[in-house]
Amino acid sequence: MKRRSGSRWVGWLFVLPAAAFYVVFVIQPLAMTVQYSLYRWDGIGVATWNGIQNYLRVFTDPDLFASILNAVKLIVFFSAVPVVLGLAIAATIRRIATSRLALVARTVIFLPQVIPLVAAGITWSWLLSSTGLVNQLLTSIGLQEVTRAWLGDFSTALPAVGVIGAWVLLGLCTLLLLAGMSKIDPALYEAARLDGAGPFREFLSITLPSLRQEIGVCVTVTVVAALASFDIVYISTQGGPGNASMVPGLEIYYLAFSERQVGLASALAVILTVLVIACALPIQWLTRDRTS
Amino acid sequence: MIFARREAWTGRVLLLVLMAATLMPFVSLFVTALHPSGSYPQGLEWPDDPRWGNFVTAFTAARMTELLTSSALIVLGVVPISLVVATMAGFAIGHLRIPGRRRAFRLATGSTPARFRRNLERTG
Repeated sequence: MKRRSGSRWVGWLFVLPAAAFYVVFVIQPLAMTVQYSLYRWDGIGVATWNGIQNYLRVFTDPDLFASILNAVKLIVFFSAVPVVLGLAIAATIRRIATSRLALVARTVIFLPQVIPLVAAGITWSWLLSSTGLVNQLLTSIGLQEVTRAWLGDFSTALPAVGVIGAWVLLGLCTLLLLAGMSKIDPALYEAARLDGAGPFREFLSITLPSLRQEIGVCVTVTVVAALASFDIVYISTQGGPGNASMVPGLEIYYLAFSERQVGLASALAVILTVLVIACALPIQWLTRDRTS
Repeated sequence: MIFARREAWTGRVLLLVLMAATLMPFVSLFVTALHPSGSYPQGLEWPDDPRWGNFVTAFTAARMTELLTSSALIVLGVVPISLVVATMAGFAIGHLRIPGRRRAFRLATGSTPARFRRNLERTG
């Protein structure tokens, strides 16, 4: 008996290399960020103890706090729009699942997921520029008063960034929801139809409840993408004009590598991490499968 | 079944509109790539004289061969190392029933997106 339990521990030798990578590349940087966040440091010279001053500054400095609020606003575009539209598209594709259009639509709508976010940012900054395709389309339908440089306007920069994010994440949500729908028993739909349910009733009473877990995954992934957004904003607006589209991810980068305020950047990073976890955990808990 | 037909048509129209919106940036990017360098085309505008050579110029100007070599080097390092290391850990946690394996698994996948973790837990 003793020998057997000993040999079970030997199995940990197989885990050792992975554990070493994990400690060096995940745990240690995380611990160092927490440590840096308590100091005042320019990245080169001597670091001085700063206590919780960095954290207080994140909440009192209007610019820093505004970046956190911007990330929260982005959730509407990154999360709500793709999930709602994704549900509509997936429900439509499921209905015509065998047709060629369904196959093509599934592939096309997933396309934005496979290109790098940097490429998406560049393409969209081109489309949304003052002479871009978006303004060309608006002018052609007689809306030239609303045309503007969408990414350079104080009131539209953040929503414009949100549209890019929604465009990227829609394909992911559609595919996940479609996979979930394919597991629903078709007999349920048949029964609903026989009882005289229309497409909306069918959607509300069968599709939505059955997709609880998939919706949970979609919302979690997209909310995290919104809060931790960096690439799209960095490429399309650099946080501007002014600070109109500044997000924490970008602010951390600027603070650490341009303004050399490593301590403050680390504090913001820790707060962002806590915020992401605080948002992701309740979503996971709410959409957990309670049947198993 | 007029009812069902109308449903199918609204669905098709929705799909087509969204597909157009998804493809718009790709089309715009492609058409812009055909314009002569240094020009600023307005929106979507097919050039009089499409410059297919732009693609070749881009390939050499961006030193694509060098860049792709770097990418290949990264792939050659990352893929084998992570496959070997992760297979060993997965074998130990999943098959050898080592003590504390549940906790180890949770810790290791804590930084992995939830969508992958969910699948893993189901199979595990």
